[in-house]
Amino acid sequence: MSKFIIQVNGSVYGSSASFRALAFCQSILANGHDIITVFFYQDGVTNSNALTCPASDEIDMHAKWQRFAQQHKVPLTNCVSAALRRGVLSQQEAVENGKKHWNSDETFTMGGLGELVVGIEKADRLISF
Amino acid sequence: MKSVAIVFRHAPFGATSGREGLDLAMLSASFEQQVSLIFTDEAVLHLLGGQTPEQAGAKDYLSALKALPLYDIDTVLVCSDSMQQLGLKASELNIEAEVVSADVITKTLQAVDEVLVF
Amino acid sequence: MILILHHIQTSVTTDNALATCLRFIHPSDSIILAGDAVNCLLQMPWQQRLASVNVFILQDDVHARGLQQHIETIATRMSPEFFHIIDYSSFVEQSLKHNKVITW
Repeated sequence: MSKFIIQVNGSVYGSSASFRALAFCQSILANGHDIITVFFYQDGVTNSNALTCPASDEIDMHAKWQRFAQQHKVPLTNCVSAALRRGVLSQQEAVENGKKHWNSDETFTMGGLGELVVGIEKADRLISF
Repeated sequence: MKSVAIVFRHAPFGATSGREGLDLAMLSASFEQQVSLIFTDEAVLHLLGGQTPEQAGAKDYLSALKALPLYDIDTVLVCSDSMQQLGLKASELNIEAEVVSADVITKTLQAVDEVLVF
Repeated sequence: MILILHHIQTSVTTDNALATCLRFIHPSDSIILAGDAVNCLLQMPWQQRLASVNVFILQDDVHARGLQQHIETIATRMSPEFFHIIDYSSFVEQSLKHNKVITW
């Protein structure tokens, strides 16, 4: 069994990188390997935006990541500074920054870049999308 | 500890990848990872002196490049093909960096544990 | 020997990821084309540039674009030992067979 860390830089909508990252993650688990965390960086942090409302016949990457994480207990980690710059806030960041609204739910943990660095150190493989 | 190479291949200011790559480079170094930086294609423009990022609506993240030695990031490689293509000379670079052939960069990509491209 | 899997996801007409990767690739390395990157195979100059490289192509992205027949025809012009259409499971396997994956 190998340990993977996955970095997602592609946004929730407008790029297909996040879709491929999820398919790759599903395949990692199907092949009996482990995912340390899926780390969302750059525009990838928008995948945690719970306010995305695609039409019912369109793919909903936020919901897909959420379901994947819950089903397989895979940690999803947002880079908090990349998220804040792009208007992706959890309740805690909203309070700390004096904002009335937030859009990132608890399926995605806000963390620092340090978690990516530590994850890379522990992992057998890093793959970015 | 792992050795990590961060490759910059996009021009400054047009996208935020340079800034976000540099953030990761400095953070990795502060977590005691061995970090090398590689600048190629239009990303070599990050290294020119006399830039005013504010005039392009960007934060002045370039001044952080001057602080690389403080983070023990001593290996900064610049692709000579890219420099030549853009008509730049090594003397125009604003920080300590080595202008190297593609072959040297290939060897570096092979030698390190992980490579992240921005 | 260190083997690198170079991961290309973007079209050669909008991004020079593949061109940059080819400048630094080692002869023992491989490339995986995913997303819009698979489209480059339709162009003769890119077929020629990739002819001597071990190339993997993500099957779902070929099928999604309706390019199976085109890619099969192109495959007959490439050396079979260097040209592989693979699924996600083999992508995972190849990522482990190589020593690292560089996403350009």
